[in-house]
This record gives sequence, C-alpha cells and structure tokens, in this order.
Amino acid sequence: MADVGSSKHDALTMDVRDENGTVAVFLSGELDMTGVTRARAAIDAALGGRPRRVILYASGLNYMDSSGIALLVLLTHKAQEVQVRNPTPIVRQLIEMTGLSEILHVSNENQP
Amino acid sequence: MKTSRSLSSDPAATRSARHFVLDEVGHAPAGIRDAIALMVGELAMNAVQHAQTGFQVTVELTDGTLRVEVTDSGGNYPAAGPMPPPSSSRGRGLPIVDRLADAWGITWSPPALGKTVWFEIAVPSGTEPEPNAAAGLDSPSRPAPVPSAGLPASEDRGGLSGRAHAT
Repeated sequence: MADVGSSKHDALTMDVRDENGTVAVFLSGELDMTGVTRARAAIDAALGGRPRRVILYASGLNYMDSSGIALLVLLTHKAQEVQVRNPTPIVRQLIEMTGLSEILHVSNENQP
Repeated sequence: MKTSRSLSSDPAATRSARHFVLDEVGHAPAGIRDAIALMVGELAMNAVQHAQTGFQVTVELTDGTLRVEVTDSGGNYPAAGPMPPPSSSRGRGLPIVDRLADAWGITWSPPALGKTVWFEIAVPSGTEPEPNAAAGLDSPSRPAPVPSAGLPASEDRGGLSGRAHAT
C-alpha cells in the first residue's frame, strides 16, 4: 500500500493511497470548491491517466456540495468505476437528490 | 433581528458564509443544519463563481422560520432550471436549493446590476431555550400571578393576540 499523498487543511483532510491498483481516497471534514481543487489534483495524480477503480471513503465527510458532485461526475468519466463508502447523511442525500446514485456505487460496507 | 456579513469573492468565503449562518441558527436538528449549510454553500458559490463579486449574507430567524439572503452585484442570471442529468458537471446549485427550501426566490434590483437570492426553511421549535427557563427553579412553588379580579380579562387577551413581531 503506497501512500500517494496526504495533506491537511482547516476544512478538509485528505489521504490518497494506491491499494493494489485501486485508488483509495479518504476524505474527512468539508468538501467544498476549495477542497475539490486539491482533491482533484491528488486523485488525478494517483490515477496517472489510467482508468482504474476509485473508492472514496466518506464517513468523515460532514459537508459536501455541488462542487463535490461535479468532482464525482468527473471521476466517473476518468475512472473505471467509482465507489462511495459509508457516506454521511448529507453526502448520501446529495448523491440521491442529484441522481448520481445511477452512475456510481454507494455502499455501507466496512472495509479495513 | 437581521444579521449580515459581507464577504469577498474568494472560494474560501463560501465556507465563511456557511459557518456564519450556522452560528446564527444555533441548535437545530442535524438534518436541518445540513440542509441550511448546503443551501448557503450553493448560493455563496454562485456569487463567487458566476457573479464574481463580493457578496453579502443576511440571516433572519423569525418564529421558527429562517430566511437567508445572498446578495451580489453581478449581472449574471442564475440558472434556475430542473436538476441536470447525472452526467452533467454543473447547474445543480439552484435545483438543490429548490429541493431543500420551503420557499426561495430571486429579487432583481434594476437598473443597477445585482440580485438577491433568498431561501426560507422551517427550523423546528423547541431547539432553543425556553424564554422562561431561567426562572424555572423557583416557579413550581410560586403560583403564576393572577390578574386582579377587576381587570377586563377578555379585553386584555385581545390585546395580546395581536402578536406583533417587533423587529
């Protein structure tokens, strides 16, 4: 498991890892337009231009808005598959409200 | 009582706007606070991204209804259409507000550029301290003051039922 990059910010804590070819993104805090810019750059770097699976671990994400939705849409174009694990109520509600549950996989499976 | 804050046209200002409003709201159910944060975030983002001007956020909580106004001086017209398809990368701001708000609207102020986008949402009562809570300790042993017999009680109640909202 290679630690591709992690960074801290007042609003968003992000940890991006390569786990056996899958890009695992651990997000906590607030994902708004400021955080999206950083998250996008880190995930792009981890994808390295190859369509791979991206899993976003979202249990610590207590805010997300349409800028985060736009990031997820972008990832569905670039990645082979996009999964969102353990979303908080606001993230789950936003994904359902915007119809994104049709184009990505949302689950509550726990994974170490 | 209205409270306002002026913010700059800066991505970080969208977060300042959310936290300003949530601080004013105080205690409320988590789902309501989430909805408020999301709507404020979307309106602030519209001001920063599309109007590209500084903006002002105004909060007013009256009888369990929160009204938030976001005013910018941009000449753009916010897109208020239906929720775009899942593959779209934009255009979700106002559709999200439309889903979550009890009421919302846009007020234009011609001939000058600029507009106010506002929303209202019910914030359930009982989440704020009762006005008389501070007097609670000794109140059980003291009967409530009884109006003197001579008072025209009905007329008195009539006066109170007006419930004028002092602002």
